[in-house]
Amino acid sequence: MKISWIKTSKFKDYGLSLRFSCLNNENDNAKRALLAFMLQDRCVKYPTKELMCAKRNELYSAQLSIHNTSYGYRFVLDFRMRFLKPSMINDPNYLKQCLSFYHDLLFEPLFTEDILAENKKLLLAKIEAMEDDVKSQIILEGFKYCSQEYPLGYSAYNQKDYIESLTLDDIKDTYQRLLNEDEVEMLCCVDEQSELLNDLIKQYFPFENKNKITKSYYTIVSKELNRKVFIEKDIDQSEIMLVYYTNTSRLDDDFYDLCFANALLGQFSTSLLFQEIREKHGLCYSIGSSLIRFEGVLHINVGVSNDKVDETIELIKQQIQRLINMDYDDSYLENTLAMLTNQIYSGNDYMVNMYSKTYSSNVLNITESDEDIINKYRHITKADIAKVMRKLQLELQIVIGRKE
Amino acid sequence: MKQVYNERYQEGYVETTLDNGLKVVVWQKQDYAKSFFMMATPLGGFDVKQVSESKQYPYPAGVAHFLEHKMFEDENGEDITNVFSSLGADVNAYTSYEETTYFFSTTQDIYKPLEVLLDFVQSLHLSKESVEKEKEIIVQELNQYLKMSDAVLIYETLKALYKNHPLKNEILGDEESIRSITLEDLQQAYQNNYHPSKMILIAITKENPKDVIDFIKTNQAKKKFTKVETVNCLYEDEPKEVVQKYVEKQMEVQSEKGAIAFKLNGIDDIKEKMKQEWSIKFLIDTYFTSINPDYQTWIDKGIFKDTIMGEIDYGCKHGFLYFACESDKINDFFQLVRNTLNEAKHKGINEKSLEQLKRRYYAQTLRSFQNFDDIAMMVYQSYFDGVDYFYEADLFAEITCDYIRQAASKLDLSNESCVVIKPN
Repeated sequence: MKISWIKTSKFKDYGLSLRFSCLNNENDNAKRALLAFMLQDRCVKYPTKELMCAKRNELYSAQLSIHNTSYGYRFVLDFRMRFLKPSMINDPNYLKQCLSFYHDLLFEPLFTEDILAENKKLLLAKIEAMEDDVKSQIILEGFKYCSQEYPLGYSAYNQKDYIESLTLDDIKDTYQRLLNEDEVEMLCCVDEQSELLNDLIKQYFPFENKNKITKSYYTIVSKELNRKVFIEKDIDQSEIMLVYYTNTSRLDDDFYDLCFANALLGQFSTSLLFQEIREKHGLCYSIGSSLIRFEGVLHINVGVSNDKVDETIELIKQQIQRLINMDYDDSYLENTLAMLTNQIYSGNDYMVNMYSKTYSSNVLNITESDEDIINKYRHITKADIAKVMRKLQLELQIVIGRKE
Repeated sequence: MKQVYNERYQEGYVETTLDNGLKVVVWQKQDYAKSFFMMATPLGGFDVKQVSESKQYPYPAGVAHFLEHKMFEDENGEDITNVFSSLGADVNAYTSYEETTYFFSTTQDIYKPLEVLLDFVQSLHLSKESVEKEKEIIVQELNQYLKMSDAVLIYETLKALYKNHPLKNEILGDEESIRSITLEDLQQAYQNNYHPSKMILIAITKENPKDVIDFIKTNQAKKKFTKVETVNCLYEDEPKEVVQKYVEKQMEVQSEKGAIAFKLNGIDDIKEKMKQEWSIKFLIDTYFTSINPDYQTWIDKGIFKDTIMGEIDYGCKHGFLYFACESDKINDFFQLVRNTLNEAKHKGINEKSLEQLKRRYYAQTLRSFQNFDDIAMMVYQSYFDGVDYFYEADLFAEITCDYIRQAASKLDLSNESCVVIKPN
């Protein structure tokens, strides 16, 4: 198993992120979502919630969270462990006890009909909660509409009936494939790469090098552009999302031009969208654009009064046109460079960002330092931004709200 | 300058009070890339009426939050955020019930943005036109929160509990109060609450604390501040009884959710308040999480769907105990909370649970030192409360089973409100 060491003494915790990767498959997503719930719930050694809770407290709030994430065609189940740095605890066996506990959770799961039924209900309740939150709902709906043939459109959240139909055998089979067929690697965020930790990882997580997943990023080729979807909901503020295909993939030469353009458009409160639509026109409280890096998608989200939807959409399109026409002050470029630089360095203060940076480099098989990226940003011109923005294609505009 | 260091958490800070009364705390974080600076004043959503020795100052609900928005405007009507951005600093602000804060973080030079922070918080530039325009933005912000059923559940519960206490208002105010706020209200609120002697500046940085403090001193020495009266938040008398025992509201949700809350007396003594809060937190975590063996039975019976949210909050003039969940059997949930609290009042908690939870809270406290926002929040809260920071951080370790039993016995559960949000 490949182990990547991220060494830092800034955290009070040790973090181990064990990543299982397979090719993205619509039905597997739902199964793995349910499997994640069941693995976190309890195991053979700690068969009740009470015993699980007691053990975690005994280990000073040892945390386990399991995240399912897509990196383009690659689907990753991240078994993420976090426990206090052993030097903070006066017990020489603490490290071993923590790894042994996580081993039990992963290798001795408790798969029963009762636990399956309970976790199905829990997963479905989470999906309903996301659907009830209009900001999450619009993203789920938008991606479902715009990319049914691509992994971006795959989500357990679109498969409530399928989740209901899953059996214990489905989960056991998914679990066995995860252990036996997935590519596995571990990221360790610790203050020192001790022999003891190295040995314990080999002892408790004895994975071999297996299938290598080679596919990851993609760009979507659109068949139908400029679709409009309206979902009626009795709310006082409409939610808008515009989805653009970027036609720029993760390893293209102009990828960082696209990142810069997105930041200039809507990543910060000094970006064009915020300045024009909130500050100048007073139409919203917040507005932003986001880039889905491995899928070549840019989306813009905002909530506005029901009677201001058309005006807002028009203004959003105008801001994109301004980037294409190079119709903005140079200070926007300077501010964006300063903010992106700050964002890159400050990302190193968060364990989750350090994982993400390391893992993306591993997946793409590239080595890029913070300085390399900042240097690329420094040389980006207005013409570069115009060029990359001209490649954008508006795929979908979706509105959830009340018809006025 | 006073140095404070805590061996247990391996954390420390330097503090001082400047000649103009501004409290400065510099927290040393050697290994981090970023530095974080925050200025805070004890003006928040509670402050709808302030009083000095000679005068009362009434404000429309939401004035502190409105002022927070307008502080970002410079003398030319431009957004000060652009200046921070040009320096590679990320600036923001928030208003809570009791405080307003302004903060930035940066991985680059700290001194220029620090100067901008000090200067913009210590000056106010308003025009009638810009105040009017901001009303639209704040109403959109309010509408954004009102789409969120969990936020609505809390607002509705507090409204059902309180007749006079400002907890009955949302921090932003309502649309009517937001629209009624005038330039003069904002100027008065600023004048009464933004004098340096009322504020605290917190720095969390790898830079030398002495250099940071010297820089702040130099900045402050250039400015003159008119002496201001001492003002305090004025609370009207609050009846013991709740306003409404039961409230039902419909929203665009798929599942029913509900909250039950108990109105409690406030606690004046700050240390007593903190101990009481910690004790009830032990009780909530023992009885309403998976530490309790009955928790699984409740899930199996479908009394709640995901988890139970439990919270205790005391102030000098208020107290409430709040439980909420999503459920298809919301009345069963309400009854379960009542029964379990009565059991908890009589039994308290045992040593085993106490020790388990102390390990959990120790880890949570340690982890909070990784989050600069959390550190800053704890620092300003303990300063405004008049207690030492590490006293508050360490308090859970002193709590005993006996103390929890006493705290539990003081809970008066006779005044409750229930709020249910039903699908349209």
